[in-house]
Amino acid sequence: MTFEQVKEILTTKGGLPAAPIAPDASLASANIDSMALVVLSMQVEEGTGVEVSEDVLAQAATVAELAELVGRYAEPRA
Amino acid sequence: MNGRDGGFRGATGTAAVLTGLGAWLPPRRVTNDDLCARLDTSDEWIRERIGIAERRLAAPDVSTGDMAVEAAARAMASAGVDAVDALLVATSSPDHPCPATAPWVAHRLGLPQVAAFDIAAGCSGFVHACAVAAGLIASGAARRVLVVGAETMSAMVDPDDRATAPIFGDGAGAAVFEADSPHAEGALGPVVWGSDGSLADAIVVPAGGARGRHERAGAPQGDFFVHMRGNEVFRHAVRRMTHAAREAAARAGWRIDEVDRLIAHQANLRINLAVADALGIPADQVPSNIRDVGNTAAASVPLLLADACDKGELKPGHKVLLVSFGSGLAWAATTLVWPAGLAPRL
Amino acid sequence: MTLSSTAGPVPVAAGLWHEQHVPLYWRGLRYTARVVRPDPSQHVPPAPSPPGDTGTPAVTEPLLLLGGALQDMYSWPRLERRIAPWTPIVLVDLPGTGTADDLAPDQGFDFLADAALHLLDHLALPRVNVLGTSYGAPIAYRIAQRHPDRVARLLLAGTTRRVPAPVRALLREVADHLEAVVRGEEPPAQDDGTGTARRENAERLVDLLINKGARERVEQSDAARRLLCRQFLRTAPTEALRNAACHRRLLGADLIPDGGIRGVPALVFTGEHDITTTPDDNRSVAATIEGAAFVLLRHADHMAHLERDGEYAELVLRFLRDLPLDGLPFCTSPEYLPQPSAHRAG
Repeated sequence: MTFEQVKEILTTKGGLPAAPIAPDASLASANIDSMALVVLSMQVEEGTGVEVSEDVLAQAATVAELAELVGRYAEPRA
Repeated sequence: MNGRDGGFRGATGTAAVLTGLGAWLPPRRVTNDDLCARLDTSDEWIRERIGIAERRLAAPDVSTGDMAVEAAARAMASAGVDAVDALLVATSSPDHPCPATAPWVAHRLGLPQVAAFDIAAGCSGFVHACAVAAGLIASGAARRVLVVGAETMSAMVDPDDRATAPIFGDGAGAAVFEADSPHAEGALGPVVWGSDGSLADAIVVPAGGARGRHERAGAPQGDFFVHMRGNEVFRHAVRRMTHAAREAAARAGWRIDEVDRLIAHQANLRINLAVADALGIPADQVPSNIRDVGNTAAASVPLLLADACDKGELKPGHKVLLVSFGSGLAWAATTLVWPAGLAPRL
Repeated sequence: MTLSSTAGPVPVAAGLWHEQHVPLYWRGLRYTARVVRPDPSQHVPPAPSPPGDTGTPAVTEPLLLLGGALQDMYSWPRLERRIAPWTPIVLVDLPGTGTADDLAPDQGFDFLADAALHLLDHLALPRVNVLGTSYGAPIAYRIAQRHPDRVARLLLAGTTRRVPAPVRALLREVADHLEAVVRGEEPPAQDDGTGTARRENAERLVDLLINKGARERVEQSDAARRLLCRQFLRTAPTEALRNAACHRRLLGADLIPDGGIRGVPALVFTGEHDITTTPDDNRSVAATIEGAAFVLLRHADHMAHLERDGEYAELVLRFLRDLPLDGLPFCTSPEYLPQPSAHRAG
């Protein structure tokens, strides 16, 4: 999943303002709280059927890393 | 009810019973080697002559009142109480010459309007304050008293004075006393105490008070720190503590060989061993924490009580003899049977 | 316990906000306030004005936020970032919650109101806005009732005069269960959180807070449910005991003391689908407050602050800034309830 897709979910479904959501922003400075992570993980599950725990997502240091994490989980494994 | 030697026995049949203990030490450890970088002394000398390996020193923005609050809150939690009738702070390093530190401590603890005042009896302050608490409870003036011993000795000591700098440390200890039967475990026994003002200058901060104020402007900087005539203090400490402890045990109806633990003010390890020896109490019945915290003045007795109880050196049913000595000169001794179920908060 | 942060305290957007932690004691119990305000050293983008707000930003008093039993001072990042541009927010872990010391089970909302007032005194805030949600509402109510002069505006969300019988029964069972788990009489949840009594218990508690029947109408219902469920399953034993104590506190005497409130502008609100404290429960509290406005947030239940965080914040901010509440698309028109004669201003 790309950064833009993650940002889209966070702003349309997660209720977050778009401006602070930059690739190198930390989760805190992008306002990404656990409610936003739950919403994100539920959206990913809905789209791909793969379960991603928000605890795993919370490990991401930046939004770009978050997108990468989501991508790694959401894409079928080799 | 003054006895011949300045002792008294509670008159109303209501005793002050120890129900909670708290302790707080600043995190910064200062070893002898740390001091030797500045002072002409050695780790070996300090360990051998005083019995101290390290002491805790408060950060510059931490005051006696701050440490008192920490220890007092822990003592209240240990006793499971959320209110007291009086709060006494024993200290020789108050936050200010005026006002007393205790009202601020009470305010900070969320104990508004409680009676609160300081007790100045030097290193003996905590045991003196326990005696005052016992009196307040015996008279019915209070049912529950919070007694704190707190010191920022690093504010009182000249860091370049090798006679005092290695000795003192900072910290705070506190105890909660509640009204109960004199036969209850934890009840403070008769108090034996006294003073000798002829030796007021044996441990003294010469400048900064009312005496000699006309010379304050010209006073050397060192006169605003503690001066101590160590050898003289040593001799008087051994004599006065031995006598007071023996009398306090006798008034409690105990023979010295029945005493399970001697808790003495941690001034100097050798003083305490000399007192124990003079009393005939074996050294292994004399808990000590001076090696780790130094001489914390009025905080030393509650810190030692909390430490020894925590380590299991004070056990329920132990006959415990408390004795202290400090500037003034002033000394005090009392007894208690160690209560069951007391869990200090450190 | 935190509803809105998974990896420990997550501060509001770093750089934009300045947060200050203030250690406090009330009756010897340690607790902490957290004050969030714009960082003066940073450029903070102007807050979006609510629709219809054409005036200059009226300065309002700081907002004291007293949250729910399962929340702490880090649980409100979404409200913080919307309110802080206008006025400082004071959040607090009162005794018995979050990072604070435990509160004895026999202490109730009067004690907590005193602790909250002590906090205002300590921060030298003579007058504040107070928002009390759920467990925080009885505390906020008491502050306004006893000190109407110190409350500029009172906001109560998800409140009730008395916990209704079915909820009482469930809260009691949940508390019993939590205590049983801590005593080791019940197995703890598995890592996957399946198949245990604890999981069932968590789901029952969530069913109490989230209206299952309205999940189609509450957009974020499933996300809020999942967040709460995870949180309950993750609860450590010591937290579980505190939660049990909080639940039991809600079972005590009337949550809202008699006597009503006069002379304080007030808003009472909750989600239109709230089953924990129903719209009528909330209405009955509003009826005890002279002149109180009552509104229901659409598409939300008791967890409205999670489900409709933007609208929740807008409603709060409008009321804090004395803007009209009429014609808002996300809530009902304000109702002004007739006061029972006993509460009518005389």
